[in-house]
Amino acid sequence: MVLPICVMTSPPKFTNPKVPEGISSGHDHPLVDVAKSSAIVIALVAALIGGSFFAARFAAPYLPFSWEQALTRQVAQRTIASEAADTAVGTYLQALANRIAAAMDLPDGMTITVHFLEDDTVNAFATLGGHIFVFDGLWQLLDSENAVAMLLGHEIAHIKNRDPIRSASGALLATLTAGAVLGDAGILANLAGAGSLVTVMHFSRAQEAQADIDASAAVVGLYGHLNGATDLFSALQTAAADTIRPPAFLASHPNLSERIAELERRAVAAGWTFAGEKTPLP
Amino acid sequence: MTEQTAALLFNFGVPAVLIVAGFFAGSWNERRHFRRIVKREEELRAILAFAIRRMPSDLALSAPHLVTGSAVISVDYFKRFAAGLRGIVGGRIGSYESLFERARREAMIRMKQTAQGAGSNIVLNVKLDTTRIYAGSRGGIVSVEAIAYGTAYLRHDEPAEIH
Repeated sequence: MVLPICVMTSPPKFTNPKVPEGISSGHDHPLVDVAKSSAIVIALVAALIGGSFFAARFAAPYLPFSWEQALTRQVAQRTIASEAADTAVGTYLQALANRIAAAMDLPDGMTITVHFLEDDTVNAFATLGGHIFVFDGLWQLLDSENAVAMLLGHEIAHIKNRDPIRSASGALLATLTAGAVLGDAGILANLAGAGSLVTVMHFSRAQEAQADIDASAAVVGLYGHLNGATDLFSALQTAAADTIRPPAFLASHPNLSERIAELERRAVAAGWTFAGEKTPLP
Repeated sequence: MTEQTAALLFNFGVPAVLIVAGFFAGSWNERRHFRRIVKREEELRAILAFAIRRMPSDLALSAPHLVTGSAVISVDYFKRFAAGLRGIVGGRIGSYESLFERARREAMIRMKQTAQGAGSNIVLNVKLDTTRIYAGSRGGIVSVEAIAYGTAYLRHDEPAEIH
């Protein structure tokens, strides 16, 4: 092996030239650096939370309905104990709900329980375990059975479509993921605790539209026409003008006029008629 | 104020204040340190330092002796936070790069000061080592030490040349 030989004509000069700054460090301003990495972290966390939210919403309808019922049994019993003593209205609403449920062909084991609450709140909602809550405030606004059937049909459709469990699962898993990722599971898990099992759920616009269509189909099935059904919406619109007591229903059901228009389009397409005799309330 | 709000405030508010305070105090310290480093490096340009291991035959050197210089620099809360984020997403940890550079250059300056104090004007076989000092069981870096050491000589043939 031949080593190269370096022949030097003059001795090398040993010097330490000044080294320019900013080679080993100082490439990014620290705040720019933090902003860049935080942006990536925030995007990752958001993707994780969003991913778990949508995954839970997607998977929730595959949970057996009996699990929902088991989950809400205790809470429901407490609520029933505190609700108005068995009124004629409550009995009537439950009987009507049973007729509508039969017309809507619910899956085996799915039960509908209607709770009538003597409260001025203009609202009604469906929640986990097949429980539907109707407030006296909204009941007072409805003057035909057709409108009440539309309301109950809408709420039953939410339950049939598993909307409450989808909303609850999405919110719960997203909260738990956030807690796990952000390292504060205790506090955040409390926020999504058992207290929110029987409560007003927020459904997407698509879920609301589907519930309207399913309810209309049920009403047409029972009465042969849609006359009076949209009274539910017009009653709510009239009540919306009352600024002192705006209907809580509208807070969770926005874009009312859009939904009426959509329903009318679907009615024309499905050949549903708006002509027919309203059934009076007992 | 509910217990949850208080807990949230404590869990996120306290670190946020520490990060902001760490950023201002840390940046101020770092800028000041770099200015002092550059100034003293310039003052010590006459003391040459090389990493070569053998004594060059064409230099007239005498009085060899070991010289060392070390420096310990602390991280601040902001640097640790910035590094923590980098620990998730990867990439250069800019906040630690400047920290280690300060420690290395400060150690070199102190080594040269030691050599100068002993009447030497050249240091050969210079080596640099760094050590991290960790805090307790949580294992976060709290400070870094850099040590520079080499063999100092008095060079007789010509005065150190500065370019």
